[in-house]
Amino acid sequence: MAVLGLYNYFIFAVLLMIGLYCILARTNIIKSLIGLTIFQGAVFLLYISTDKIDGGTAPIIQEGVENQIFANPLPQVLILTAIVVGISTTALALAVTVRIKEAYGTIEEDKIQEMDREL
Amino acid sequence: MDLLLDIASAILLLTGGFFVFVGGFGVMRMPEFFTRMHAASLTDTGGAALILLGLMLQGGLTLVPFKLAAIFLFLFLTSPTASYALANAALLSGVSTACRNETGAPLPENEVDSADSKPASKSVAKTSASRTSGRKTTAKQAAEQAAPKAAARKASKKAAKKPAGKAAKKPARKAAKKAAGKPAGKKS
Amino acid sequence: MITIVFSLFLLTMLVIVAVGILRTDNLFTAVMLSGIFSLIMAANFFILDAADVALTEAVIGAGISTVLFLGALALTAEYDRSPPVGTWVPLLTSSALGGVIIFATLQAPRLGDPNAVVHKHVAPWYLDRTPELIDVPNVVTAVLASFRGYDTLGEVFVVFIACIGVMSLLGRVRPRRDSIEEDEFDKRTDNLRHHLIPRVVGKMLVPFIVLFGLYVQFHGDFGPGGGFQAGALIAAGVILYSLLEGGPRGRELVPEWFSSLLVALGAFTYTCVGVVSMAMGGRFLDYSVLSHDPVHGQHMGILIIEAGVGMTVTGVMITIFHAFSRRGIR
Repeated sequence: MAVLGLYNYFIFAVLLMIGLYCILARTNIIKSLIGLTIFQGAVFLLYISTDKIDGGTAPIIQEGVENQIFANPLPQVLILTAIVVGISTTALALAVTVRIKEAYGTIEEDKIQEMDREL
Repeated sequence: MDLLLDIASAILLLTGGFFVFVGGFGVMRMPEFFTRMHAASLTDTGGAALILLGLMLQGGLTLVPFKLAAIFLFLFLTSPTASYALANAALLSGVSTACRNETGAPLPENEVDSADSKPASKSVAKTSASRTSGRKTTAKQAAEQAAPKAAARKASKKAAKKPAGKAAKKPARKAAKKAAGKPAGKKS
Repeated sequence: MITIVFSLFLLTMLVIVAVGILRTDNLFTAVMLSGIFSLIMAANFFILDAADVALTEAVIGAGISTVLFLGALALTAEYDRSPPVGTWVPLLTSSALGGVIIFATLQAPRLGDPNAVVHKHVAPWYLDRTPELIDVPNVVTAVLASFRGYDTLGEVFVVFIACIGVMSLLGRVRPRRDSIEEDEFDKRTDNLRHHLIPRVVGKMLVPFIVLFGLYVQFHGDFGPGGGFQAGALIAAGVILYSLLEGGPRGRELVPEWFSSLLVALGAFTYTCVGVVSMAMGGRFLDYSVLSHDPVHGQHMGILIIEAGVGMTVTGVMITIFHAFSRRGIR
């Protein structure tokens, strides 16, 4: 059972590994960005995992219900905004990628580096 | 009365679950794209409808059955649409209706095991995506390279993403057309 | 018990999908899989009692992010043609990272432990004092909009700046179409009319999506929701319309000047609330002074800044989408 209680964290670590590997091992920029979103998702998962309390519910206070246990609202707030910020920055990265494609004709990092060296 | 309701909802839930299971099984075992899609889409709509009905019976006279009914209506509209869009895209991209594999020989069952279908087989939900690629690749480039892979991919309910996927490129083209001074036209 | 089973299943699915993304060469497949990844993630968040976050992740991760990635794919490449660079270094690096993290988590409190440190500090205070100080049922909204209002203001401006960045990168240049062959172009445009059924059904859904967005916006004090989710939902409705009818029609529905106006107006509204509360004798973003009754002032403040957040997020998402869709194909 001890392992089950930590399963979320293990998955977090594994997703982090996959995301990082995807960023490092692939030279295609879009693939790297997808890896980055996996990485990001792993971090979200870690934060949200910390908000859970046994027997708790979503932190919405209901009238007339006493002694309710609520999940921790703080990580939720942080991640709620982080998701929106995450997509905005991803969009920015995609815009840069589009411009790179237009300038170099490719989105493979190694080829871009070759072209830069030739200059 | 409660017992009757429970029994009825249990029967509905079990039947619905069975439908969904059969759909998933069909996606894995059917030989080529269109039959797979058939298996997935048909049982998907039916199974989801049955499960939602069963849950509605459990909800009693509260707001819950109405919310479930809204979901039911939504699924009833979108699920067949997604299947249609998927089939249409496959047809336009020239996915062959004949069973085939890389050698062109009649298809053995284990074709399912090739390409990237491994993770897909774990879930119906995540497979659709790969499907779409068939159209684009054949339409644009490297048809030879894409074909064997495309043949090995599957349909699914996640196809809701599908219309979005296909259409994503089109606005861009229309925009380009308009910008070039040619009237975009209202025919679309 | 049943939630543990669900949780285990969904988490395992996450890893499987992530491996699928890693393995495929087809970027299109990878993008669709990442949409599914987000959807499973959203289900996971819901099981972990984070309804607001689940809603956000479902709209943004599975909806808008997928569309943006597809838009970028249309402008770049569809295949990852790179040979994997030396596999060993990345593998070692990521394994080392994973090993360290797993080692560290062995000490972490188990999932749902009520005695974990996170639950001991600040959070109980928020939960206890919210009914008295702010009196909105949804504590997440209270913390987001009032207790941590500065933080949210910062996030809104990050989104705002990202939007400016995308606009300046992809904005004004007219798409070149010399590179596109004439008939090829027409054929692709014509393809839209083959999608009659998706268009009809999709257009039927658009008003409901926008309506639901407005509900989420104004019901955010009482249930899961708020400006961020609502903005993303409304933008998703508009984006769906643009996908079905084509970019130009989408830009007729929500002109670009309007969406960029929304972006600025939202951030401006948010800041104005802060400045007004200062002018009325309080501190920056201290809503209590906005009305004679502090609690009522809080309600007003939250309503206005949530509207501001909603406007900015809607505007940003639509503007970014238009920027990509207008760029044209290469």
